[in-house]
Amino acid sequence: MGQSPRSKLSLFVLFFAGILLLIFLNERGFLNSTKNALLTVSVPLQNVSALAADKVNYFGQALWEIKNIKEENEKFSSENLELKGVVSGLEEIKRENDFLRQQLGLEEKPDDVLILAGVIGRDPLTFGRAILIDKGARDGIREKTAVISAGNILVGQIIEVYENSAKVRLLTDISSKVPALTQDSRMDGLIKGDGTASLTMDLISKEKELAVGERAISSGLEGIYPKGLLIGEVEEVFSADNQFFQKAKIKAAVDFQNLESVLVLKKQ
Amino acid sequence: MRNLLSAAVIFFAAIFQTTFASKFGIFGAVPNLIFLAVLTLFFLKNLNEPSGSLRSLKEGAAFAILGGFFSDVFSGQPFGAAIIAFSAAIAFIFILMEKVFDKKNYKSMLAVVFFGAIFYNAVILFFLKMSGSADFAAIGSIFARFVLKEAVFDAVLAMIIFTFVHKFFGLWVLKTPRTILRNIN
Repeated sequence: MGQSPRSKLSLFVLFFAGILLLIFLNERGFLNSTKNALLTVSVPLQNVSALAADKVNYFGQALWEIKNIKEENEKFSSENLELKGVVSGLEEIKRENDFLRQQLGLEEKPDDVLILAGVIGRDPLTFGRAILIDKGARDGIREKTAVISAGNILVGQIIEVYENSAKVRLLTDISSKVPALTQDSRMDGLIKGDGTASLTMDLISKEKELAVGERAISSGLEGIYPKGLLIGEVEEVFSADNQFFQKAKIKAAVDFQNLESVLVLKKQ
Repeated sequence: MRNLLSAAVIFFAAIFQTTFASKFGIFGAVPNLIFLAVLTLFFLKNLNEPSGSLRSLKEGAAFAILGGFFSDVFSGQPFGAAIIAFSAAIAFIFILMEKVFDKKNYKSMLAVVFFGAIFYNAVILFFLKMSGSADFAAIGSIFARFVLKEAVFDAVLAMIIFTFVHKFFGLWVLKTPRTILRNIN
């Protein structure tokens, strides 16, 4: 016996209502325990699987890049020497700064605590740019906190927190928007992701000209990202007479595709 | 038991999708293993039917909800986008099989995977537009850069998966649309 069109329609309506109910329950937080349980089960599996994927990836990359390793090693050695010099200079400045602060009777600003977390999963959507990390609420991670990588480079922000894991929206995600500042020309703008490795800095005033190679940093205006975190370098500038603002293509400072661990800023 | 096994297949596909598949993209696109798992289960032979008819649309919808739920849990996009996209894609694929491809063979199955993947991503992007997460320019750029490549990737991988499942497990058979329609009625 076939179903009448009316009963088929009511089935369809019921099905659609069920999906809307699921979305509503999620908005109200009623699905959190289900998602938490699912992620508690999946995190150990993802840890093992991510480790295996990294090993296979390393092996492939090593085979591919074997020729360049010696050249890169020499480059890094010389960069390391340069950086050692910079660090010793900065240590001197810090000492001087501490001394002056003491003399003026100013309290020292508490440092942010950094939580090291491993990347155990990536967004299943081909254009989705989110990662899952192996630290969660029980490690003190909270929503809307900044996530960085080594070298104070901004990676993204925490968007969902579970018991032993958390989701991070990367800067390259299409819904990511970060208030930013160019380091030399001090021009404000908004850095947006478009799903690819590069970023776009929009809403930049046309007062000054941007230079290619200039660094873009977080401006700290939104409150989630602290000021001064490196985002990337200006790669190309777009300015037209009929537009109020200029735009810039930003080359991200971090390789989002090969991120293995990140640091979550925990405010004191 | 069978339902649990199906859920486990989709769950493990989600684990592999978030760990392995995302590391091995080609030209920026990665295959959607969850989508392929849902489709493979949808095309499996109904074990309760000795005639070997395909699964019903209701069962397909159940797989779609499971696949969408796992995708949404691991994704950074608004919750519900993947559930709606999976359900719509299964319905779209059913209509394609019923109205467009009268012969059920590998070619038509691959065409169904290709167009189904495009439709699935289009629904997600529409959802993102509606929820204010993305503007038209970003959606257009994503469509051109990722969606078509992913659809090709999915179709190629589907060819391997379908051949493997068909040959070694003998679980699915290709039937005429009438058999499918009879099965859902």
